[in-house]
Amino acid sequence: MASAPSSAAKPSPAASSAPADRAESAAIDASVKAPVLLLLGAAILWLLAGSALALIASIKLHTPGFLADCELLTYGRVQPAANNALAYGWGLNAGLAVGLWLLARLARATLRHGGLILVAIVFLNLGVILGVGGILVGDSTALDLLEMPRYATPLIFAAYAIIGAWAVITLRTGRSPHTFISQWYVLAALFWFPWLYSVAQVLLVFSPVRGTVQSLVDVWFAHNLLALWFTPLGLAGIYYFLPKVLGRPLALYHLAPLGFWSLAIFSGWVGAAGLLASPVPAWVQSAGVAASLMTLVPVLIIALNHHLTLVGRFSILKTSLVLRFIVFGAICFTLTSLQNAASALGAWAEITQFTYYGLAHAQGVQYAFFSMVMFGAIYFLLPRLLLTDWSFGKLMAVHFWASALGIALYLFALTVGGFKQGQELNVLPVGADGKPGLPVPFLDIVSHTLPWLQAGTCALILLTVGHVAFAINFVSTLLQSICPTARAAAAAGPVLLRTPPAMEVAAR
Amino acid sequence: MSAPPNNSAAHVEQSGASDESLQAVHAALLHHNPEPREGYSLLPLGVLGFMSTMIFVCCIYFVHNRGGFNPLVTDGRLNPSSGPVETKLTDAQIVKKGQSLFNQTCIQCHQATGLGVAGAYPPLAGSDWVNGGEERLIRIVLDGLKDPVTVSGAQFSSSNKMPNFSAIPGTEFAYNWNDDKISYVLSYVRQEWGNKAPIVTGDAVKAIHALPGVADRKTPWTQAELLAIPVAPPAPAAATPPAAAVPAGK
Repeated sequence: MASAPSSAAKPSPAASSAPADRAESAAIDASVKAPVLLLLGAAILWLLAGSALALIASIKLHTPGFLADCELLTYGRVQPAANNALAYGWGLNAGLAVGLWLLARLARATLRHGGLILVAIVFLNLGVILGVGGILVGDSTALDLLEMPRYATPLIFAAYAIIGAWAVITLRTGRSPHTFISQWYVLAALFWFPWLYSVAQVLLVFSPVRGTVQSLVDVWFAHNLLALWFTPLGLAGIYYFLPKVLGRPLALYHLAPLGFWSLAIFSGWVGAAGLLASPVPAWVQSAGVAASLMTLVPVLIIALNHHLTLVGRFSILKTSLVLRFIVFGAICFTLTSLQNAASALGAWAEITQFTYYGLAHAQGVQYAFFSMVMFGAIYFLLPRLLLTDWSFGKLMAVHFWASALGIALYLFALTVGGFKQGQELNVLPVGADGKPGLPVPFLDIVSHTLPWLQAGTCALILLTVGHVAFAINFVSTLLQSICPTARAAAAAGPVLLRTPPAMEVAAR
Repeated sequence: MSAPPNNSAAHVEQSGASDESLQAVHAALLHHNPEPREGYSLLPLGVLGFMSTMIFVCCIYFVHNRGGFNPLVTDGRLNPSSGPVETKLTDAQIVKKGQSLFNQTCIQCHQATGLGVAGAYPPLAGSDWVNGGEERLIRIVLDGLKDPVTVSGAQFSSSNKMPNFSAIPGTEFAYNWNDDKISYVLSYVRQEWGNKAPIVTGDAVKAIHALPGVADRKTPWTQAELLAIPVAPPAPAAATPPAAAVPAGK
């Protein structure tokens, strides 16, 4: 079954080793099939649960009476529960699924002894269930993105460590003599997450540090979860799928390692810029601002690499759904990174700090960039794992447009709404310039944000529609691959996967 | 580059390149820049220039905002090596601070109107004491005043004497106000309710506080003692506003 379809299609300039190539890929795909499918299934369940919780939280922002009598669903619980379900439930599972597949494919290694990984994945998700459930019953730690209670986190950490170790072993046993930039990013993310998570847990939950160091550790973690976990995995996906689908090498690949190392060095410091005008030592804040500005260097390199590779090939976006997701993510990576650098500037932060603007930025990284890349990657890899076509082409289009329009609306509403909120909050009776101002009453500021929050709810409804379409398609495709008659029909029908041609440098 | 998939109905994305060739091509690209076909490319130079500029700008920014690496400095614009920054309050700020001090303590007896309570607590509004010499006033607030007292021609006496506001060990009230605070509240009292006397500087309070018999005094003043002090002649009183205005202005 695995290599059967490949021999039928013979696209024009295939290298002589092509059928063997396809057979090897199929063997790798078969070896990672079980863990990746389990991770994807869990990821999609968490995506649905997270969307529902986020929707409830968003409605409560402008209609406080909604579900107000249910203690489990009060805003202070449902909002962090949604955040954690999406960041750890969806983010960890989807990131590990795509990362594991990418590592195995690029290292040309089959995954061995996958059974232990399956156990680890089950425990990882038990940990997240325990954590999100703990938040809902009121055991939240009240630390940004570390809300899960202490009885859940060691489970997540241990399960993650096993999965990460397996990924590293897979990389070591691979047959590929080369290392591609995506492998760097996946591997780095696999190492960075346990470092961030364990340090933050110990310093904030298990043996809390005192004073302003607490807030410093929390911003460090919250920023780096985005910058050193979501971002490298998203970038790994973009770096792989752009040349893979286009059949064209990256434009400035020789600069890619520079982008990787500069991102690794500067990102760790950026979080401190979120503490502008707070009682942490001035040099820490200034180092954060300087690091934020320095991240423009990797952003420039990465953005040029992505966008120059695509130049002249934009027409492929009409036919390739995978690239549509990937390119959307790549554009959002550039935009949110520029936004992040701008937020570090004092004059800008003065307005945007403590408003909905920050919420929009986090969702920009986590959803518009990371999740969109993950969706694209899943649309690419699932047919290869299941050796069957996606069930519904229409639902794929629905998913893309609902997600793209939904997140665009969400970011627009909360960015503009948050900016206006910040401007109104900043009007003082006597301004810094000495001129008397007319302060806006606080309750008026709150009510002025209402239309923007309602737009945010509409956006989340759109996103949820997309996620439901995605889930239906996933389940249906899964069932279709299991059902024997459908398998036979697929094998008899048109060829599913062509043998990929060899890439040439001259393809540019 | 490659032919479209022969099964156009499928929703499967076809690879444009095999993983092996993708790896091999990029490994080669890492070491050989594929650009030389057009002779010279500005791009690597541009990236290098941008990087150098950013390093330069960020270093300058950091040096200017490092706050002396002092853990107690939280505003980078402050340079602690230049010594503590003397912030001079304007007259309006002094009076404002005095108002909040007055509202916390003095208001209980002297009332928000500054009129006091007839027979018990003397008025401050239009009072000949308040608008007179500053030395007597300063002494009253530093060490307190024993009843009875005659203010603007009326006699006042109550069971609660005017307490001392400076730190005197072993006394009943322990406000422990420093000289600056005392100058703020006196400035407020001398400017409010239509009073037009000049503000009192912290230095003036300090000077009188340092006099023998003031700092070490353990009992309140009596009216007789204070009346023995000459009312500061109009000349030094007039000299006070410019003295206060000079540091406040620049």
